Amino acid sequence: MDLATFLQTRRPDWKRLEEILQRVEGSGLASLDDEQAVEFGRLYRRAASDLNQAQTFVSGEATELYLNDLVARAYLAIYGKTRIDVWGLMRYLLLGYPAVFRRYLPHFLLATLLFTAGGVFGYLVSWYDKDVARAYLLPPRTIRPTEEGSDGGVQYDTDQVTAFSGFLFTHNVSVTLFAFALGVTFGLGTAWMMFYNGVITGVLAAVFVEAHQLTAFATGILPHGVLEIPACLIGGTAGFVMAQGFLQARPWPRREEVARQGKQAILVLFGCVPLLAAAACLEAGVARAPDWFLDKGVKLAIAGVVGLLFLAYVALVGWRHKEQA
Amino acid sequence: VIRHEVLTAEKVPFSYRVAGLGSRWLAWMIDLFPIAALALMGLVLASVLSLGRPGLGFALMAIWTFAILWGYFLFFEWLWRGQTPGKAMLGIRVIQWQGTALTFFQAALRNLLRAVDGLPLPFPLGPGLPGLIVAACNREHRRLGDLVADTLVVHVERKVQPILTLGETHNEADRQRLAVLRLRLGQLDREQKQTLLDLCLRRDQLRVLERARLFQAVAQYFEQRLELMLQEQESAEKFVLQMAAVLIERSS
Repeated sequence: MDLATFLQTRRPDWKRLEEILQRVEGSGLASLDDEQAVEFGRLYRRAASDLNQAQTFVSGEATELYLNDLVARAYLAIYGKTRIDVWGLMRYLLLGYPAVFRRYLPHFLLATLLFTAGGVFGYLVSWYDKDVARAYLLPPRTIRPTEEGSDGGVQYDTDQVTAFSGFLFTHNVSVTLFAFALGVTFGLGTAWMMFYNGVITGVLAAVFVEAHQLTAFATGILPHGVLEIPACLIGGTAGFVMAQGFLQARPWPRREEVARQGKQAILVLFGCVPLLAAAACLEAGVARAPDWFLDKGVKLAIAGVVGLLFLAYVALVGWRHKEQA
Repeated sequence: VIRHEVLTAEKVPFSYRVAGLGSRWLAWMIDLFPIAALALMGLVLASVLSLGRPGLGFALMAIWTFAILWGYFLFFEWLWRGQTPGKAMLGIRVIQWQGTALTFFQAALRNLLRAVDGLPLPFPLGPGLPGLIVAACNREHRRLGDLVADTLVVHVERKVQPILTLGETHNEADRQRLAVLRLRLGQLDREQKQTLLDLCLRRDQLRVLERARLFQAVAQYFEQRLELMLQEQESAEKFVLQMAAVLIERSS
């Protein structure tokens, strides 16, 4: 077919497709009624076949380019769902997640191992030389035990608690997300983050033990820590899952493997969203609550119960849940 | 120009023009303005709040900043199908490797990895050294976040309008002239029609001087060949465009 005839016969359809596209790109596919939707699909397929024809039979680069861009725009508008399925996500977090977690248990154990190693290292260092440990291992502005005997630190008023919780929450989430993102350094950065967070925890524990305030440390950290630390470890787990894509390229090309593992990694990572939210609530409500309001024993009991709940969740839930891609 | 080939579900190949580092950098710079504005907004709100409750103001500020830093790009790329305000202004868009619109999870992945891509900077915003180096080293200019999320940034062309339309004919003289033109153009062979149309469709890709020269030459050729006359004050280009328009106009 020669170009003139081709343009002559096909042009009205392309124009129509352009008009519909304009609308769809503005207000979405939902703005079309049934008839228009059918027409849109038909026009798109027709344009695609025209493009095919232009590539094969008709000379004229410009026509081909024009059709190419038209098809590209329509393709983007038609394929790929961008609307997030909120119910699906909730169901995933509630039922599907534990299965994913269990699948990557080795990665989680690796993160836990590194964290523990860091904790032991930090504790030992400050056991032998507490000044060095405090000066070099602790980030500036961490909590310190108060004067001996004052038992459990200063009494914060609610306002200070709010401020501190807000800061702590965003800080912890940032650390978790960074630990995840560093997975692209073949997991080295993630490993370091896990280890270092362990070190901080270890040194802090040593500092409090030395001040004979282990209970203050335990009641102040454990109620939310039982969720926050797993959340951080899950960030690390997701980082390692991603790193695996970079390291283990077979049997697929590295590009595909990285993308495949990346998808898994983000699914793993999303599990710590509810954990961190719950941890923030516990932090504000339990850990920072004054002792006259919640007894130390109660705080520790809450920590224990929450920890057990988490374990039960990842160990027991969702064995029969069919995973959806 | 680098193009990314895609096969549609109907097995028709087409391609996207990959966005270069320049346009992406520029889009990012533009995005910094709304980011700064949002941050400022939070600051003002927090200061007002902290007059009464300093702690609450501080907490709000922390969370607001956090949400902007980690959420700005994610939010827009998810809601606007791969575009942020900056990207929209430059006409570029994030898409999946397979050529379809990106999903929420992909937007999350590629933007969480800004934390590494922007590394010398301590916050997850920008393209820093790792992102720049990786993007410069692969064909589709994908940074680490793109590699992991299986995405790339392309131009979405909307301005391409190679199909010309005939202006309204107002008077009898014009109509007659077009009729004559139609008749004469019938004498052209296929090659000639093709050349004529090709030139008109491609005219936006030519440099100004070449464009003028080419249209001049073509106009002259057709003037002689078809025994037509350029109207007064009619440019060579307009004359040729009109012929092309007549050529592809539906005869009915």
